[in-house]
Amino acid sequence: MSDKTFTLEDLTGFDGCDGRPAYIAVDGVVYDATGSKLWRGGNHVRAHDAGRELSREIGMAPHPRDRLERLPRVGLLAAAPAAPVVPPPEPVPAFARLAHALHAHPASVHFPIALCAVAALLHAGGRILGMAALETAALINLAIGLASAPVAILSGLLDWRYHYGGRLSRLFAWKLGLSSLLLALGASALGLRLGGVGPAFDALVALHLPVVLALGFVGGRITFPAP
Amino acid sequence: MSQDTDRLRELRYVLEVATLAIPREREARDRYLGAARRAPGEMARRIFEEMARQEEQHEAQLRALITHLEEELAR
Repeated sequence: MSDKTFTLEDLTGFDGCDGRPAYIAVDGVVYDATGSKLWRGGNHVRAHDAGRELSREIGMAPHPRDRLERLPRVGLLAAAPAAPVVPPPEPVPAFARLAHALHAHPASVHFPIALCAVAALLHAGGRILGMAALETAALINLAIGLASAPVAILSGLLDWRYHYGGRLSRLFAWKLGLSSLLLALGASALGLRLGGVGPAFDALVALHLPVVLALGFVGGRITFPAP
Repeated sequence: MSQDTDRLRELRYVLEVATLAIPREREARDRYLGAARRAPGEMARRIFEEMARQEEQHEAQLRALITHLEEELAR
């Protein structure tokens, strides 16, 4: 076996095209595939090109790794530049793992969002149409929505802390701010309701709609990042 | 001044992309490992294990990137 050492850049010059030799590297060894019928034109099964390091690809090949030993060895691949330091993953406590495994946040977050949105619409309908039953339904929706919010917020905080590293990026800052605003709105509205229905109560209930829509939008951006 | 602000904004944006990607990589790894355990044949098992390994590598790369970006932001 030759002692010749190839860098990844050297290897690209042996791509099997235009009469050049076809070399491939796997697990630090460089093989000459030029004479192989399976590597004509520097390509193997229309999926793998010569002139490259293919250790990862061969792990997915349907044939065993030692099939390469049929090819002549022509040298060694120079060690890659030092890899960046990778901090170890932070351990996740059992309760946070369980909450994540049960999808506690996505399962619970829809309750305050849906109920508060429905409460705002029912209350507006009740006030416009003069139907007390709608206003009562709105109040019930609002109370249940507010009661479910702490579960959604707590499970969201757990996911944020342990699965997103607790970094207060722009989206998470919005999510935390809007969640706090929703809680404050709900508590204030229910507090005001004790003194009866009035314009301030109407406004607070109506404000739930844009806040939960914004929360849903930010949650969507976190779960399904836009390009 | 404006260039500094733009650079900070870009750093924060890339940091957010990396942060959001980590749970996706972990979930994909766990899904592939689960599929590898239940794979009916050697080929499927090997492919899923390889894909799980790749997801683990992606997560490690993202963690390294996050460390680097946070150091840049702290400067």
